[in-house]
Amino acid sequence: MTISRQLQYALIKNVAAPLLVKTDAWKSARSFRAKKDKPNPPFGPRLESYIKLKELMLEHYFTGRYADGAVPVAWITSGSPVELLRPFGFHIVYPENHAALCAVRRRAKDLCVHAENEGFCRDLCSYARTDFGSVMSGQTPVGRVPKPDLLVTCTNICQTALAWYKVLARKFNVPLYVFDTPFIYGEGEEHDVDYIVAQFHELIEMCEKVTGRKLDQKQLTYHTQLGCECSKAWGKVLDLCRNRPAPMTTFDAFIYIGPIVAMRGLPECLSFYKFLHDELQDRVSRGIGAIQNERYRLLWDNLPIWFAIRDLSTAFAQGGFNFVCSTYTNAWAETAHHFDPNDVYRSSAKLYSRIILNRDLRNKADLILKLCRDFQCDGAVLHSDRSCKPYSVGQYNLADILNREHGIKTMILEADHGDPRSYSPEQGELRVKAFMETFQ
Amino acid sequence: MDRKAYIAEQKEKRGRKTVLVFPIHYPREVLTALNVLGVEIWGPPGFPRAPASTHLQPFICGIAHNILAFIMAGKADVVDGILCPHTCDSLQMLASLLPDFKLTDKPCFRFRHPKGKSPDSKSARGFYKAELKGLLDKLEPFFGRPSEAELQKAIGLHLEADELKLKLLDQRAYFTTNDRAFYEVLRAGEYLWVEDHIAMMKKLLESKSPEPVEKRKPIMVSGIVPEPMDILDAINNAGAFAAADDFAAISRRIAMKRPNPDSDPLDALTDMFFARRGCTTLGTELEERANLLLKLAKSRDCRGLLIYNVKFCEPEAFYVPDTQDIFKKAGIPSLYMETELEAEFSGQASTRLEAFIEMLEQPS
Ligand code: SF4
Ligand code: SF4
Repeated sequence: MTISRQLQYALIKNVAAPLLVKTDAWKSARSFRAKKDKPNPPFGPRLESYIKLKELMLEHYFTGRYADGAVPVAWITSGSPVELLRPFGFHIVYPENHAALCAVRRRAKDLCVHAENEGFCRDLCSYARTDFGSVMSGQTPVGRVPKPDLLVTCTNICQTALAWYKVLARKFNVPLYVFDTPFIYGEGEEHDVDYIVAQFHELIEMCEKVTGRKLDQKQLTYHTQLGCECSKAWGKVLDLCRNRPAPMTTFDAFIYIGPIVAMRGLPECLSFYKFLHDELQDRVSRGIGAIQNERYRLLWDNLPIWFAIRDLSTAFAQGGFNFVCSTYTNAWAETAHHFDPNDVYRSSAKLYSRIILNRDLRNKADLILKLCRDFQCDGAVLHSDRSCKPYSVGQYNLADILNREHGIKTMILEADHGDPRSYSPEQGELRVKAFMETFQ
Repeated sequence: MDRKAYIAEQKEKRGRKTVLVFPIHYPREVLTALNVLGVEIWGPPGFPRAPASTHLQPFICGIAHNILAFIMAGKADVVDGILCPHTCDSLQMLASLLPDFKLTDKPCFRFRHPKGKSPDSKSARGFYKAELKGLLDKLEPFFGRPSEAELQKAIGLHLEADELKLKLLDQRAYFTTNDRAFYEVLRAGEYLWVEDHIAMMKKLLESKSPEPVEKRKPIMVSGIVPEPMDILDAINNAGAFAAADDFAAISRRIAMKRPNPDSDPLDALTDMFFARRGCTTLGTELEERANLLLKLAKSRDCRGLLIYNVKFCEPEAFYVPDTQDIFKKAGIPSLYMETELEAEFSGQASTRLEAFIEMLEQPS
């Protein structure tokens, strides 16, 4: 770390970024006010929270450009125990979040192709290929991504992330910590928890080594507690969609998920979700829906198709179909109840290992049925994601169970969350139409 | 004798029950100690896949598809259980799919091992040992519990088998046999009782020539499994031979160090797991692994590296570009090929392989 980089970073963080954010927010607020009362068919009125979200993410990515060399930087997977890194002052980069952003901005395809030209096979997860493409070409829609001092990968989402980070570790020649959360069949075993707890301590040791700082236990408790509150606040936001009409669509939630992935354990994350909750609550009390004519309610399974969110949400909304819940957005809220401030490590071990992607299909089936019941879904769309094997295997059987045993109409949508070459919009549209017709 | 007849004979004459085992890393010694025959299933190529395709997406690898097709066709009806090591995302989910959606009525024993951990990681060693204990507990109602002496004996037998395998691999150039026949002996341990496998390997070892006899170009072969085995014929026909092996089905499972003979059996098994050369599916460090392979390739004077991967196998595919890069820098060219585990090795693949082998230097 150099003093000049630190000074520059402080200046950016405390002066330039807030100024940029304010200017952007002012512009967005003006355009929001102009559009606020205008009809937005087939959707309901626009949400002001979107401006806040943009501010938050802008600040995060903008300050990030200047982080390396000034503060320690860690690249971590979405399921990693980020709260542990917070007390050490890391700037955190989530390559998955960045890759999703690239897909939304339609930059992912070129980055994937770049990685493929460097020898990475097209069958690899498109998040990883987007990330490799960005690292190797230096291309990114956010200006610049800071280089890591530490890499942390956690196997609770997949083993793809393990191999992905092995490649990054060689590219950047920095330490990698593999946080290994054994896959849970049934209720899991006590020795899983022991293993994970031991790894919390190993990871802390590694952070101490990388940053040259000692862990401040109070800070750790603060951030873990806050992380848990953020997850609960996110859960409360999602729960508002139990109302009819739902005040938010799952497609909106895919966008609002940003802070819970990238800023968990920070106060600004919590205040954002409180703001979003209040705005949605207000809609609920006034009977305003996220789409104008909510006739049917649906569940979404698996990752979003980031590059097709707009098209899909419009197509469904036009038919009066609203996605009111998803296994994906739920994943950042579903295990928060495990947290116990009196037993931070063991309870966090459960919190991190019991997420949907790290559990068996029986659990997934039960969860989907529960969500369908709680959110009164009439149907479900299961995105069979070419990139994500752990999320996709079992969907054919799940669809069958939902359909035959529970009368929940289902559709399998073959696509990819990030690589548009693996999705045919024309065929997708036809399938969506045909699916909607089955409800008439 | 074919597998089916062998399994039946083992049951009849030796009273051995059978467990079907998914690839790759699992404690074979535990099954042996229980007098249970472990029969590995690497997705026999050419099996009709249609029934499995209604449960698995087309982007899941051929091994997973073939395993499921095999089970759904009733070919596993003779076994007494299925052991599912936690190899990769696809097999992890298959291990859930089978019992959770009742695609089999056989008991499924899941075995998880640490991922991406170094041999000196205390937490990982502790977890592995606890998993071994857990596996013994899960197997007990079906097969009983082995005594410490039975476990020790089984460990000794498998160590002997591993040493023979290593010896054969080390001296590949001294055998007149072709690669297919050579690998058939090495791979027979996927279903033979360990002592039968030992006898078979000893027999092959006896046929060793006093001097190296292979005149073809030595290459290193790497991947998950050499299936269909025509790939080995294609290598030989193109004028090369597999002088160094890095298939997960073969050498990646060999413990490179003997455990302390006084260790308690579970500690010994833990030592043996961590003494494996490393595997993409275990999350071994990339550069360390590639350098190890390079050293081995050089020691056998390999002129090229063939990476023969199963299509859609992510763990393996991630390691490819860096491995190729490290070999390239060392002056060893490489070829990456994919197999869909179909019945036959395609003509197009043969042509690519021939072109690659042709441009490799002849050994001096
Ligand atoms: S999309 Fe799936 S495979 Fe890719 S990193 Fe996420 S969980 Fe892993
Ligand atoms: S080939 Fe690869 S993806 Fe398929 S089962 Fe084996 S390790 Fe898993």
